[in-house]
Amino acid sequence: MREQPLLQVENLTIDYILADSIIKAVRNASFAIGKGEILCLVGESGSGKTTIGLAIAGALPENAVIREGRIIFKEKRILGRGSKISTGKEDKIMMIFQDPASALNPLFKVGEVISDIIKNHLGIDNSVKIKEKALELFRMVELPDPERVFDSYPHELSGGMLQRVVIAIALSANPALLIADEPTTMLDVTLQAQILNLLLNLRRRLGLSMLFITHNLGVAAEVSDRIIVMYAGEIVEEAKTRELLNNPLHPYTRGLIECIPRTHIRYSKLKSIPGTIPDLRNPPKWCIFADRCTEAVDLCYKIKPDLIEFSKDHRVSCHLYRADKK
Amino acid sequence: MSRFRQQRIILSLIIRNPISLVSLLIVACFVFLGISAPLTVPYPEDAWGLTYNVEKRFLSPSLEHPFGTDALGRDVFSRVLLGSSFSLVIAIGVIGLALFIGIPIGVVAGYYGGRIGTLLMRITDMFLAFPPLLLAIVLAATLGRGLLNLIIALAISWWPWYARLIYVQTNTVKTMPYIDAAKIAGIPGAKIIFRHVIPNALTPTLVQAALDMGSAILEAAGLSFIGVGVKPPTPEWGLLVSEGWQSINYAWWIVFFPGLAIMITVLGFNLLADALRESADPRLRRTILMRLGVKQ
Amino acid sequence: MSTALLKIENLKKYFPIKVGLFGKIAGYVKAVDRVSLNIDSREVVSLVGESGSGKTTIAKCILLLEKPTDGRMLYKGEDIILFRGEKLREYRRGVQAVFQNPFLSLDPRMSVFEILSEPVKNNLNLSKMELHEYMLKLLEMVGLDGSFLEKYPHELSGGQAQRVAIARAISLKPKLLILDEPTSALDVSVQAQILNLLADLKNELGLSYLLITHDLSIVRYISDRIIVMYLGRVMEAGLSEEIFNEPLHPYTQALFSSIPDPYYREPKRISLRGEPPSPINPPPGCRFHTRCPHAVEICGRKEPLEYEASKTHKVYCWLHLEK
Repeated sequence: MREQPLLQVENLTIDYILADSIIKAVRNASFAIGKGEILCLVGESGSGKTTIGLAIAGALPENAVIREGRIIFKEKRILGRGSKISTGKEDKIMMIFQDPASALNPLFKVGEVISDIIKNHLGIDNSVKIKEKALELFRMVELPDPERVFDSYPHELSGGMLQRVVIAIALSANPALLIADEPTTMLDVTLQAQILNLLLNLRRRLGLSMLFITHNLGVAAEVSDRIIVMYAGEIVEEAKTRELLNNPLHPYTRGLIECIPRTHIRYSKLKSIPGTIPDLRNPPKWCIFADRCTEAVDLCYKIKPDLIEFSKDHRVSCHLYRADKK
Repeated sequence: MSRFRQQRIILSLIIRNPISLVSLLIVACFVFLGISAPLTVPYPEDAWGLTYNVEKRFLSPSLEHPFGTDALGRDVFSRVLLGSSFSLVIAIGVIGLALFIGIPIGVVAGYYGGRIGTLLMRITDMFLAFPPLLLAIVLAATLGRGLLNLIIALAISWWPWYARLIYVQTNTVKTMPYIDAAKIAGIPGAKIIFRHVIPNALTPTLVQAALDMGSAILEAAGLSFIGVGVKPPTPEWGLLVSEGWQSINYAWWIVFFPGLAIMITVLGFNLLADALRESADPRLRRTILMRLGVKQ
Repeated sequence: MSTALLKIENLKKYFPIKVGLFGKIAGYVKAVDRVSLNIDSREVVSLVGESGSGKTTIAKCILLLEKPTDGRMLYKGEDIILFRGEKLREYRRGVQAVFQNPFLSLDPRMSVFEILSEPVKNNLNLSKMELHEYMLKLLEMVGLDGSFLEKYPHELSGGQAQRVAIARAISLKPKLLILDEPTSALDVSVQAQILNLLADLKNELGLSYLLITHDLSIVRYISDRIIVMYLGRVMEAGLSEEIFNEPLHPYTQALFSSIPDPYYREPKRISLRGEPPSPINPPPGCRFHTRCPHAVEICGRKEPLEYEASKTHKVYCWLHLEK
């Protein structure tokens, strides 16, 4: 029997209620994250990837409603909204975001913030020990000159350093799962490379599981073990990273890969996917990608394809790979 | 058009909430009475204070005189009713004039910045340094009693708030790339201000102005009450209260009804202001919608 | 020799840092420091650099949104700063721009028709009928149909809004478009659509582009020449093929190896040490030496001279000069 996964998401369906409409942000999403695994949710804007991250972290905004589904973390059922995640010292889910500056109160020194969290989460009371722990965390995230950082205000640090600080704060709670929502999108490419390396190092040293959310397949390829591709609120394909990149099945995944400009190829024209994503207030009842798909057949406009197991560990939601066609 | 969708939502939100609905009705009533009163008051001559009738002094409320009569035998109901017209004129006059002074100063200071901007905003700050009511009293006393002088005095103590507000908004709007895009397209500065800056910077100031109507009525009544507002026999509510003050022991109705009119009107405006503020804030709006279980 | 469409010589832009009540100047942010470049007719030049490299400041100077501290900018051989009246109007018509976030660069209170017609009404004399027809033609050129005229920016998707912004930029029949990160705010699948559109428009209308971006990977197929900047200075400049085939500056090499590519993996990733220094006190000598994996003693002392790898390929790095 297989080991129970760390986190399991089943049939998650989430709506956002707006003043004059309802956005069906996530529909029927099911997946699991194993211990020590880095899973990437890849998708463009409106794909629902951030909503899933927030649901797992229990940080959905007030106007979000979980219509269906459940989230199981360490064999305990947790709900997305309004539920307390903290079940014990080592069972936490922490989340880091795109903009580290907005995650830190500008009025407090970085050291004060992390000390507070260490005090609350680890129950250490001795201020010398707290500082020691904080500096240890800062060294763990490879911050240069941790003593100085400890006494700095957020505005005195650059974006890359702030992101390291936020990661250190997330680690201070000894999380079992770290959700990273586009943590490198606002950084320059040279800094992005540093942060990605850091996250990989942390996984190696701490055995941390990660849900990494990104719009960039290139980034996903560098950090992840497994990739889930989302489109307009639905999972369209899921596979191990190398398998997904070498053998992409869903037309959307293939399009997405072809869209990425590659530095060592000279193009006469870039590939693109025509059209835009469907209206999420009223998503089509048939295949969500049919309108933009170049390979769509009649069936694609009639029935929504199921997420089927194409081969071991490779799931895809597309009529092209129906069992009877295989 | 979708531009009006927002207003429709706000309106429907107000109607759904009983308190906001009542406040909306009060304000609508006030505006309607204010406009129609000069034509419909039962005793126009009493209302305008043109005559007096010694035989009818201090009559208590009756069918003939629902709010009783005052020290000069005038019908209090007529005077209170016509008072709504004056309050309406004062509210619109004060806020309008304050916007008329404040908006150009704030927009010019915000858009051009530099020395002109600093100078204009320092002047604004000087006005802000005075307690507003005190400033209004001093100005009203200096200018002398009268409706126009009252409006001017209040507007002068009022505009710096609007200047500040629109200054801050202008500063935000002017850094937007669409302003750069207009400059690049060679659109002249004045046109950019009128077509792009003001429309995009105005909303918070206008909302604030609408919210301030109640306070303007209250302050005008206050000034009239202490004797630096309108001239008697103008039937302004504050003045009516002050005229009836001496006889409160034996003719309570002379003070009570204008006072009640002030209270209800100001309360109506303030409650409506709260409702507007709530529905204009998208986050609050969502929670209200959820509470009401709106499905659309 | 023909004169370049736009020529920039030794451009400097220092922003004063004011402190205290009286605005005493405490120092300068050296956003752009002695940068020269030129763009010929029908040429696409890409300015590549990370945040703080000064690339956007250069664009703002060219667009007359910022006043340069020093240096000259010549349009068809004439000094831009001295343009007044009709000359200025002609320059404005000739040089237009597309910005990063289309939702911020379109006035949210205007319909697409109002957005597109505003510059046209101000600069060209068209009758109502002609104006309407011209609007339709503009939309068609950017791949949208007439139904968009009535829409407001918030009703558009990111790609559609950027198309409207491009339509506005070409509405005055410009010679040069400044493209400031035109695709960074867009989704990957849409990014390619917009780049292709820009490439098509360039050929159709004979435009020149100054493409400003942090992303080296998107510039290859569209640009003729590439200039790599770091902290306000040019590090390397050359033909697109030269930069891509043989990047000589360590910073350019680091940029290339930092681009996440799903398939192509360098045997050894050049991860740069540390963070970019502050442009208030840029490091002496070569500005890149604090992060350079190959830095030697002279790099921190003296600013590197120009090394000509070819007539078109220039590098500012001691590594190549020492050889």
